[in-house]
Amino acid sequence: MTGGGPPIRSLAETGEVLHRPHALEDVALSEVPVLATDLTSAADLALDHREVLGSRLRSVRAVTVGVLAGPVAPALAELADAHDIVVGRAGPGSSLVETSDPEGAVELVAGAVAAHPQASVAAAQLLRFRAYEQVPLGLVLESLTYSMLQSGPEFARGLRERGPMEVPTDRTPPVAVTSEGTTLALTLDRPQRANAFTAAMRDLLVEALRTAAADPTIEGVIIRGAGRSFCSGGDLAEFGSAPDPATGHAVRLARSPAWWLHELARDVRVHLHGACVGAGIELPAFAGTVLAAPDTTVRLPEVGMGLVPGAGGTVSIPRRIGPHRAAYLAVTGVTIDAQQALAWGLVDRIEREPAAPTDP
Amino acid sequence: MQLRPGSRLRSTVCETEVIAVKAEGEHDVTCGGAPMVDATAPPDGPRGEPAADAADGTQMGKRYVNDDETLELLCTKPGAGSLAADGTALVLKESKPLPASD
Repeated sequence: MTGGGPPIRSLAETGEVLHRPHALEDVALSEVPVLATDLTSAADLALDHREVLGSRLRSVRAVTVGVLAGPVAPALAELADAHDIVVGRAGPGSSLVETSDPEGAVELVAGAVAAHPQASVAAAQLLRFRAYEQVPLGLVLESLTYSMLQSGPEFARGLRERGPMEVPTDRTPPVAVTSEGTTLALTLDRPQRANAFTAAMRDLLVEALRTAAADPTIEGVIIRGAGRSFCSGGDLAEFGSAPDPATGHAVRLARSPAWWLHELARDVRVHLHGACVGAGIELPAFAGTVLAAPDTTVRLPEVGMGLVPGAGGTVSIPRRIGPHRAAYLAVTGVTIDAQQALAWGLVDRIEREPAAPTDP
Repeated sequence: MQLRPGSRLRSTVCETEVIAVKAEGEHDVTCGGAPMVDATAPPDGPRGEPAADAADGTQMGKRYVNDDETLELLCTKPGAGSLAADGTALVLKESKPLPASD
């Protein structure tokens, strides 16, 4: 085992820990609420521990990490699924984060959890509901979680570290809307801020998507980003500007680009390039077709700000790559490239745009 | 013209097209001062010009309503003419401004 990481317990040990009368409290209140377990062998796992293990893993207030040195035994597949994140050299194809250094991966998760335990655990707990299976309900649960964290100490610290910022005023509309025959073309158009997502952008996007949904002559919607990157995520300058968490929740669901993208998904094609951060991947992942330029990179930064993804990412992303890989991205905030995004199915094809996005 | 939700109208003097979002019964809808026509009908005749007093333009994605809001049209293609119904100019109904939720 490498230096600073948490212990990787055997299944028998984890079974024993979670069976203790004070288990939930002890794990929950530990400084770094991470529970890592080697899933390769169920040897010595007591039968009565095994019966409750899945349920305890889903109850515990910790980010649970299953570690696999080799393929998971069929009998243990259910226990692997009960973990928030699964890392290892080989294993269940649709949930595993492949790595030749599982201990290093556990250490990476633990480092992220140590920095933001409340947000990390909330992200993991949110995904345990599998609410993304029903998009409208998944969006509600995500928003509730997000609002809860908006009142927490980790977000307050994130805002302090950011420092005061002026909310920028755009001189031109932040989304350019043009008709290309029967296709509606939307271009995120704040290249000076790497198309950072703002409330004004949200409003224009919803307006355009709503119109596309109402107009039977529009057969498709194409979304692009102007400049070097598709979208660098929520504009940091607007963070902390929601009137209060309860109002934030109401607003998020009343005017939701995520909801509209899901409604229109079949007919929406998104062209990604450059940095696709936070909302910059969470919204595109709802689209029926996601094309990524070779230079595309993807990252979920919200937990690092004391929050969870809030633009629909805990719905759209697990729908594409499953809850375990989504939890890994959300908790660690690691950057993945276009190839990795393609391998996981987060994007559908790697393709360079025939012509660079320009003004109409 | 008889309108109901989903009816599509086209201007004869500019690019404007609208969809009725809320509508019931007979309405005399004009764009740029000229009667709008059924958008599903093939275009016929030369296109005119918007009248000078009805050329404020329409905006894509915006809603236009009459006084008592019994008629609501959604602009799906913008143009140079402005909308009126039953002799009165329609007004742009802005979406409620909402704050950031972050």
